[in-house]
Amino acid sequence: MSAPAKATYVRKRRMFGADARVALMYLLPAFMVMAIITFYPLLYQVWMSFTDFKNTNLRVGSASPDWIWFGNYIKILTNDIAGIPNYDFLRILAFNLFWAFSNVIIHLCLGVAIALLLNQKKLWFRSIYRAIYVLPVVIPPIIVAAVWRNIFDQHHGAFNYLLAILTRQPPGGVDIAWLTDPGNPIAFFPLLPLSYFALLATNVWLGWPLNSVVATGALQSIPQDLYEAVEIDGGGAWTKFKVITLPFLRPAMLPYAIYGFVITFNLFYLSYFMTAGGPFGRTELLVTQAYRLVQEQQLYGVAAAFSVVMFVILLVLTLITNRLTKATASYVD
Amino acid sequence: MKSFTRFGLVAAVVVLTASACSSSAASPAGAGMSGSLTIWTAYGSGGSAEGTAMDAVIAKAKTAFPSLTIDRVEIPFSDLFTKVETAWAAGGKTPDMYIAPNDSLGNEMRMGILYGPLDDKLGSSASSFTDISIAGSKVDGKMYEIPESMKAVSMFYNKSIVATPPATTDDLLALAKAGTKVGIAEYAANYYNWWVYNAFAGGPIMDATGKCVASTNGSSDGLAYMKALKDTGNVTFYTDGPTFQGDFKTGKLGIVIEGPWGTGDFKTALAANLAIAPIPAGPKGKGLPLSAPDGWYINANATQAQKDLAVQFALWEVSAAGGEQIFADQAGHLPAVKDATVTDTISKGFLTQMTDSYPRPQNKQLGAYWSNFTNAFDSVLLKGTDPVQATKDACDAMNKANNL
Repeated sequence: MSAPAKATYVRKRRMFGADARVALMYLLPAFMVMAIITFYPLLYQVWMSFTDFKNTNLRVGSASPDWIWFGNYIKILTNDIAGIPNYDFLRILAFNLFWAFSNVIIHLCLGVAIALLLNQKKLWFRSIYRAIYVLPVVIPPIIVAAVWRNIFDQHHGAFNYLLAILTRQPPGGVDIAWLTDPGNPIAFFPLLPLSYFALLATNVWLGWPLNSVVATGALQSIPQDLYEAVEIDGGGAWTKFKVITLPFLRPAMLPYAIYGFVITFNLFYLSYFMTAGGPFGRTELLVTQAYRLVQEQQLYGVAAAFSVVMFVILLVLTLITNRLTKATASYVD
Repeated sequence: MKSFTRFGLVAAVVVLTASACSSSAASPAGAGMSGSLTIWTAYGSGGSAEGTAMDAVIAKAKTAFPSLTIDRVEIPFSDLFTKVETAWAAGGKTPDMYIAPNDSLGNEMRMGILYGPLDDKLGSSASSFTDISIAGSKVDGKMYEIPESMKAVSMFYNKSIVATPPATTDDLLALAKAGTKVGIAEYAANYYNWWVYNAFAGGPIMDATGKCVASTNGSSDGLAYMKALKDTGNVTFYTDGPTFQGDFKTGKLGIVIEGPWGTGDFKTALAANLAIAPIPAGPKGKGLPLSAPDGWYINANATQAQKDLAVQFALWEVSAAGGEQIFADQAGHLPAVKDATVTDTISKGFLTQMTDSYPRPQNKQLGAYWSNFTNAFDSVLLKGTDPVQATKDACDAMNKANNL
């Protein structure tokens, strides 16, 4: 048997041999479950996105919706969704991207910095600090949103109260409408209303602890003799960080940053419950807009198309970031 | 023998006819109810007045009808309509019935998931309902819910702050200018502040076809009035309910426009200082708030026997002898039936307001009102947009959404 023929034979045997059949048998139940709970709904949603599916089509046995090809996609991209004020797809997308990037960058920097601080061996009670700082993560999201919405309340919020104390004004002397002011605090960057900063503060409070946990894990896996080697070579703290700490952190932090990006990009509850997408839809995210299309407008077809668009955007972004950062490559590559 | 046989046949026909009639027109007293019912409610399970009253009603039903099993499932209100619509649209037989405001009545009727029309199922109970509760239970002229109680906002005031309640919008503005603190809901603004359009336009924002006419009938003056209230510096527009209610309870506000759901807490906080008055009238008419009945909705997928049982239970529950007096006494509900008595002063005030209210429309065109007019409301109040332009934009968007 020639070498190519032998290779083909081995490949076929691997694919159709007894071992492969056994492996497939083991996988089959999982595939069947996934087919029902994952693939079928996904495909159904894609099908819905090409129809004018409405709530009247929900009923079993009702007439099928009309096939409208790319009608829903055109409506989404040309801002032609009747009945929704302040809808502007490109503005929502731009805000959504800025929201996700800004959060992830701050989470990452803050998470790593605090992990480095708490990794100091001479620090007392560091195990207690590490336990405390993950507390925000275990609080139910709806509670977080409700508490922070109250903190930023215009008339009774703790934040305005604090500002009044700091600026030596009487209680109620500071009356900033953090969540509803339609103005532009950064005049040259009108994408961001004041409520963006309220959302950002909340999500930073929520987001850095897990970044710190991941960074702490990575820091503790770095062999100490590498640092000693740098010291022998005369390197200082910055050199140690640049040459050893940073390369060892990368394989842990970059995949987590990409994961964090996807999570933050689709972070429903802060935008929905803290600002209700306001003022005037300026803190609306794609995911909250999709929800409103279904829940408030009952435009199932348009919402399905919206979700497909979101999926494509996230897929492209993930592939690009993965490529640029080599997030899934190990540090020995 | 022949006459005996003939008598037997006639008797059998009479019995069969009577039993057939009884299944199409349910007994209002719920006599002889037996079987099993699953009902969904959104009255809270944490000791709320409505939840406790519902428990008492079910306990009473179990005592009165030992053969009837009732399985009550409490659903968060925010999820109620979505859960019901998803379950029933998929052909689900659970729950048999649920109780809720008529927010989704028209929507669910058009989805084909509600048992009805119910007009001919009321039997002798038909005359016991108030006209406005019947009006609020209809879609396209037919009943699709059995009304239980009525809800609308009215004007609460604190007697220790406000000696004479304002009768007109001018009076309210003058009071605010003079320093009286007033609270107005900005959340759900279009529900709470529907009254202002009638007060300044003399009619609703839609015509009979569902077309928005607010841009031509003077409704924008209502928005301008709201802005004038805000500009006094003494009228606060609240973005969340607890703060809104809290400020009235603690005496920070002299006047609020709120619904009967606030009564219990307000009474506890303000005791004898709590009073109620009709919403002020405007230059073109009365300030008519939207009124809507809470009612029982019945699953179209259920078997005929279950539907009949559900109708029977609903009619028993809304009768004074059944459950309604309990709801009126314990939860401050404003009964949809005439025979339940209301003795409380505040509840009587709401009943007066109910006679000057506008039954919430059930046409699908109203669906485009909420977000567009919320936007107009916010634009005028927060951005200072010209009320005429804001109203025109909202009306145009609403008509575009409705293809009108």
